[in-house]
Amino acid sequence: MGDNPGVAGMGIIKSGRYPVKIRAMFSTAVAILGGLVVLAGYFVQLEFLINARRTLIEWAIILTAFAVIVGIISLLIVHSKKTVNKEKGAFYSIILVSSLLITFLLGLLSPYSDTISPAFSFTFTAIQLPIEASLMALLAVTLTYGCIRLLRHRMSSFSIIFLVTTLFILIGLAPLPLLGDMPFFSDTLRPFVTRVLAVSGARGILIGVALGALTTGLRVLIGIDRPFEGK
Amino acid sequence: MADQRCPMCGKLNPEEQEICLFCEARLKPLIANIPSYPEFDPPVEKKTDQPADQTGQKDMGASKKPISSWLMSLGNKSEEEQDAKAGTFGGNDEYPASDFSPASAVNETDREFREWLAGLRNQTSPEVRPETPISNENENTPIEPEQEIRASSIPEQPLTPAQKPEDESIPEWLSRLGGDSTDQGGGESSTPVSEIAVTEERPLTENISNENIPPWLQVLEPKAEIPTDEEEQLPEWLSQLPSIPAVESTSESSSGFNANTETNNRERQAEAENIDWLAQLKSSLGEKPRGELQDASSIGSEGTPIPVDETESTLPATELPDWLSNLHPEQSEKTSPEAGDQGNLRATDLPSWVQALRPIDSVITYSAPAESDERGEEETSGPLAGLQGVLPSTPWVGNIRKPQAEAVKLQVNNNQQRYAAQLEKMVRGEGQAQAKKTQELNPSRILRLAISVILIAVVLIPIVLGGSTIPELNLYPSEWVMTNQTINEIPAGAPLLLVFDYDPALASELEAAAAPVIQHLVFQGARLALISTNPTGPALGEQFLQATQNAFPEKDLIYTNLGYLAGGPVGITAFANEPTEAAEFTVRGDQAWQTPSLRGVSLLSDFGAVIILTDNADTGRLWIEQTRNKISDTPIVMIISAQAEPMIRPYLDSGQIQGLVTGLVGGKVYEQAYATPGKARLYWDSFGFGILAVEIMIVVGGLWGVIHYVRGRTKVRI
Repeated sequence: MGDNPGVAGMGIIKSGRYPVKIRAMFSTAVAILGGLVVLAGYFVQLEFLINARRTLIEWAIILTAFAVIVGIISLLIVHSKKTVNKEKGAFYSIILVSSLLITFLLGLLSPYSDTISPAFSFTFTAIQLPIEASLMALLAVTLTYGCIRLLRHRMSSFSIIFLVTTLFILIGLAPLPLLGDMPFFSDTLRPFVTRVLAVSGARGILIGVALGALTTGLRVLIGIDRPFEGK
Repeated sequence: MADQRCPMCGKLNPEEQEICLFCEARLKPLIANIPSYPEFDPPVEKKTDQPADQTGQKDMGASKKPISSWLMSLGNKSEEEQDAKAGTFGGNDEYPASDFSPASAVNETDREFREWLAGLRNQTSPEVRPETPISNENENTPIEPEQEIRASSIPEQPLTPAQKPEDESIPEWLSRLGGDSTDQGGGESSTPVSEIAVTEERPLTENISNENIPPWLQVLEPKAEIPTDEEEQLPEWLSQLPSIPAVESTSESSSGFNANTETNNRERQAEAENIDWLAQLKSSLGEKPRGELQDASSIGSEGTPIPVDETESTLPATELPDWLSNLHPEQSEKTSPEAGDQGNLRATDLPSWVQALRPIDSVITYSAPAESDERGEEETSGPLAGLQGVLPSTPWVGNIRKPQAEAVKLQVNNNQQRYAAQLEKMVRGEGQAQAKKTQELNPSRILRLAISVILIAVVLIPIVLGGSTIPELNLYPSEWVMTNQTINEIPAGAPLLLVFDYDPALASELEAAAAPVIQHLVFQGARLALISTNPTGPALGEQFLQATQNAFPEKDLIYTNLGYLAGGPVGITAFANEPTEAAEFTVRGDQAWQTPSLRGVSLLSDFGAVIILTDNADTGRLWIEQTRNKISDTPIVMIISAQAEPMIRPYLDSGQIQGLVTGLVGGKVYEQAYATPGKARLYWDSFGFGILAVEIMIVVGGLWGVIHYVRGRTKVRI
């Protein structure tokens, strides 16, 4: 509260219906209580704790699902306004809104109609899947282009290491046409890089992630971090 | 009686106090402003035109009123001082002018004599008037009575030798009286102010004859004689004092040229101010020591009246303060050495640590002031009288010099120089006209197009030509054995949970990797349940299973699509804890756990295996972490994209998952091991050719970059 520029007097300011301090204390108490209940449910097999944990998790799932719906509605409203106001890119907004509505209707009716269900599958397999696959193919072209231009733009030791490693992994990834498996690259170098060096780094990252998650959880439980207040 | 506040220390002092009791600063200024009207300052000789009779008459009346009170006290004080020293001067209340001349040094008991003298003036003045030797250029200018009264208020000045009357009929004592008066005047009474007094005294002395001297006057003759040594002992301030009214009379007489009544009113006001000033002067003279008064007064030294020259008369007295107008360079030169001997602490005497506390010295260096400037000079007038070094004799601005310019050498490294050069180049380029861009293809765009064409061609050629150009794999991955064993240990007809958590963009890779595994399980009679935390997952699962069904139409594929599992990690947790609660219905709205594929399944551990298809390492990690403690001995097999292998492999190595199929290579190994045709084999040739093309392009591009870099370095050296 001391960092809040709006704090004055007894440290309580009126913001909305309830004082900020009371609201923050209430939010913190709820967060700590919820976390402790869920955590205790894993260690103590009490019916009360199990039911409470189940209830809290169901609430979280409902809120998450509702957040997706809210996001969809917001997207629809924004692009509808752009279409009505004829702003720049309104044509794409029209496509987006129409596609959304069509797909939504098809998905909503497909369980109940054998005619609409293939249509709904078609929208996915004939539109969304090829488009995303094409984007991934463009990524392959872009990465190749980046590797070609890398040494011209930035001639450094790390650039050279990156390029050489990439080249060696590709050589040992699969048999080459007319050449087959490349000795040393396929049986030694690539397994060593992917299963020793890369895995070692990945393990370090995973351990860091686990420790970070543990620390974050503890900080929330003891009230230091209050992500629900935007901190 | 109200107290007066000291201007220096701000403490209260009695009103009659001249010097502050606390700081000894002067409470009342010694010199007041003398209002003057330069435009009306005529030659002082004009005063001689005033009729003596008028001045004599008016003097008794008009001038007595404002001056008499202070002048009487002044006379008394002067008398007391003189009594204390050498002799006694008669104080005269009615004729203050006589107090300042030796001729008036008579006893108070001689009041009759004075009255007689006054009457004598009145009688002789009309006769003296045409005999005035001083020429008057403005003879015809009428003089108003009031102005004459002011002129008559000028105290009488002693006779000067040059203007001594040549009438031989003057008695000797009277001549001596005149000579005494000139001695008292200091012998420098050639100023116009003294001439005024001459014009007033002349009728008196010229018309007095020996026959007219009454006997009592003859008796009085020796008394009127004042010893010369006593005259010399008169305070000089006393001899200077008459010059002040002379100046006043100058200004007053100048107003005689203006007949305007308004001007007269203003003169009356000025007269009142002068009287106030005189009153202050009276009080100051009464208690001022002799030496201090001599220094402080602006009256000419040695008793000479103020020389009224044209330059001074043209300067308005109100523009400069008195103390500043009286501050002459000669005085500063005289007083500075004296003040310098008083031993003020010099800057060089400061200890080093004190000097170190003055960083301003390192920034602004002052020119070494003169010794007199350091000590300052003693103020001789005004409220600062007696204080030393309060005001600088020269402005401080002249002593301040600019800080010394020090050369600053910039510490610029090579990067900063390069950035500066680039910035300069950019700025220079902004000022140059640029040629219109032609519709040329960008080289990088051409390169991208070339890469795209090459890759597409390389991938399509094997598919178009058909056949198997790329040889089979000779080396199986290390996880193959474990994965194969795990899949083979799954009981026939057991329910399997398939998690489709990948994006459509990587669907081809994952389908190619998962197809042989799923086909293997389908052939074992496994019942499948699909679920996904990705909104597109259920559709991808449907598509994949439809493709599998189409590949093996003879097998009746049994599966249940549980649809989308909301909540992300929380949803996975809920599904691990309570699968029947988390995913109660299928995508078609049916009771999921009543379908044939999920019959008898209520917990996650009831599944024969959990097979996770994902391209995201985080998603795979969440599934592993959230379900591991809920599935007990149920194996987890992960079919992942090649990009997620480094992050998922640690879970395989740690035993948290029991099988791993990675990318197209993993699928190709599975197909090759079971000799089942599938997508992996279809893609294998294109995959091999594509990798080869990419390798070649990277090598060529790398060499091109190295050559470009070497050429650039060579140009720089040249």
